[in-house]
Amino acid sequence: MATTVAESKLTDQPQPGQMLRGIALLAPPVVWMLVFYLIPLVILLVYAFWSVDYLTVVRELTLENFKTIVTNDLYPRVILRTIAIAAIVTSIDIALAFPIAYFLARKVTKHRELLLMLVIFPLWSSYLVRAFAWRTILGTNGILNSFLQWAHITDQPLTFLLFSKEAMVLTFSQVWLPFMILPLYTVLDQLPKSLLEAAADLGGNGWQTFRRVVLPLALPGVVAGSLSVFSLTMGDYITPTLIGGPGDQLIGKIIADNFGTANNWPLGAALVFPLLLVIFTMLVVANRFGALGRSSV
Amino acid sequence: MQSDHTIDPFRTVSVDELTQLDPAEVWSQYRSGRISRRDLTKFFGAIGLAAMGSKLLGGQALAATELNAIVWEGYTAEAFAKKWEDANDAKINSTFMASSDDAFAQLQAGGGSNFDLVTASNDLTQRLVDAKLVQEIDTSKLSNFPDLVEQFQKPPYIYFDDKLYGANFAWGPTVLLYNTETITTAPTSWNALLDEQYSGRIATWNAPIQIAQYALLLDPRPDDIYVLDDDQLAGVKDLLVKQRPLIRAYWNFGGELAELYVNGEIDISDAWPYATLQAQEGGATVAEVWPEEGVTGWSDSWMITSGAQNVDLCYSWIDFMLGPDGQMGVLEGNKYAITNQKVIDSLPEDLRASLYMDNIAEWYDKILMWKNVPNMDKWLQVWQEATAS
Repeated sequence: MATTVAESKLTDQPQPGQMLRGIALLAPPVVWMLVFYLIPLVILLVYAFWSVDYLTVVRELTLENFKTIVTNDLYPRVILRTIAIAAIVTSIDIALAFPIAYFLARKVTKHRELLLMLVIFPLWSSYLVRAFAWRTILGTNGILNSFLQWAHITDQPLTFLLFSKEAMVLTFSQVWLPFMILPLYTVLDQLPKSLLEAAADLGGNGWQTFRRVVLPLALPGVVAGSLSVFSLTMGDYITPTLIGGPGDQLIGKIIADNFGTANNWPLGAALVFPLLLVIFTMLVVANRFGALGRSSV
Repeated sequence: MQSDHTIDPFRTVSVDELTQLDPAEVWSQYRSGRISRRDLTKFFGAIGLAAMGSKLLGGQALAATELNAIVWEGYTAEAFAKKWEDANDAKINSTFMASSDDAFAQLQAGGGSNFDLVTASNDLTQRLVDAKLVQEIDTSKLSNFPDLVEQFQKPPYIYFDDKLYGANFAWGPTVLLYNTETITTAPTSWNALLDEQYSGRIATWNAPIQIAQYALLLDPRPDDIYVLDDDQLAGVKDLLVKQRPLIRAYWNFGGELAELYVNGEIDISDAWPYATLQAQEGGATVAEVWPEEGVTGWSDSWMITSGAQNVDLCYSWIDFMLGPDGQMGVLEGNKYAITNQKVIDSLPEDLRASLYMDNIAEWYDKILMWKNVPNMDKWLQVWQEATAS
């Protein structure tokens, strides 16, 4: 108590009561993050430096798992494939979400809440169900192929529509789209109208206004949405398993199987490192664009 | 039950009889002169330790009527479990395992005392025994045990060093399934899953244990398809790499496989009989074949953990699961083949035949039942290199 009082005097900051209230408010989430996130994460990472001998985890430091990851070209290949797919899905979602978010935030006046609900609506259904729905749509005798044949656009079912990288990218893009729309909507909604009017007054055309006014101000939203979509894609293994083609596995499945099928926790934990590295790099970049702190808007 | 325990006042009472009674009742009988002081002392001596323990541990009194089991989903389904719960005034709580390794990890984390029971598949059983997480089974406590088909009484995957560690209650082979409309001559070999004429119409189960199935095709064939050396593993990998471009999809669970046939995505695959039934219900024209090389098979057993809190109740549950109610529950709920001959005899003939329960001795001989793969981490790596790299 003494220190709190002293501090508050020193800094001329909030009263002790307020201070306590602040700590009380912060403590639960901090403890939660510590106990259920940080500590398990550290334990997981420690596993990466151990090895497994039949049934027991050998608790002796070794770099063997990392050597395996680097020397067996399975892992670098799958990790690169995962990053590439995540990047493609993120780009597609930016392209799709921007007009939708812009429309919702700037053009719609009536029923805006209803339209926003519709954006979020798919999230109410199970993710597995949505992935399976795409199988029904894209399948050999699926809705899309039936339509194409009915309309005489094709005379044979297109088999590449399902169980392919394209199908996987399509499914990911649809499933994660709300995670891109919502942050974009938030930044675009806060965009002062006066700036657009000023741009118009100064003779800027639509494209110039977009590129030099809207886009820079919306950037934190783009980055925040991209972070979500990218990391959700990178960690997922359900869509690649159900929709992807033979051989289109992503790193999530490789990791899950090391934990769940081979009892090889150390290798599974070591495979988490490259992913954390990618995410960490993205966070650093995102921080530079102000997506994590208070946005510049 | 109550009437069995009322005590004849003109007869001496054994301590065994007394311990069946509620302490309060014993006390009142003593007060009314029907129990001697010496018997009362004996009684409290007999229950003393247990009673003291339950006071100290608090929750024990409740735990006596509850079992915690880690199971494959469906094995404790309310539909039939309720019957046992009502009859025994007990409750079974279940945690569903995601995989054999998931169950192993969870049991190991608790040293075998966080659960009373586990339904272990035959790729897991030996590991649980090796890690001393399960205890020996006393078959004299299982009234339905003698009714089990002989092959399932002491199968090698639960019988180690003359000791039995599980009660085998469900099983099934992994067979070859094909669409009879598009493939008019029945295939006879697992080679059909590597046949280019079916390119783009083939599926196979996405699990490293399937390496054993493809090892059946190696020349020379390994003595034990579950214990492969590096050369043999490399041989299987070659087959799988060759197979990948022909594959339409790797399937992950039975319902998904059935859907692949119903939606016309594939014409041939490995399969479980219950998925065949589902595919047929969905309108697919499919038929099963037992390839000449033999088939692999799975089998699930109830095991009692080494730290089980209430072993008697565990036996009661296992006996129930080996009896008509439990066996029919597993059969109807999961469409898995069962192991109690008496129950099997009571089934309609077509159902018996469709799940290969009609002549088990003959079918069983052709199944190479799963067992522990000691270097599963290596198998997984080979499987992933072949199917994902």
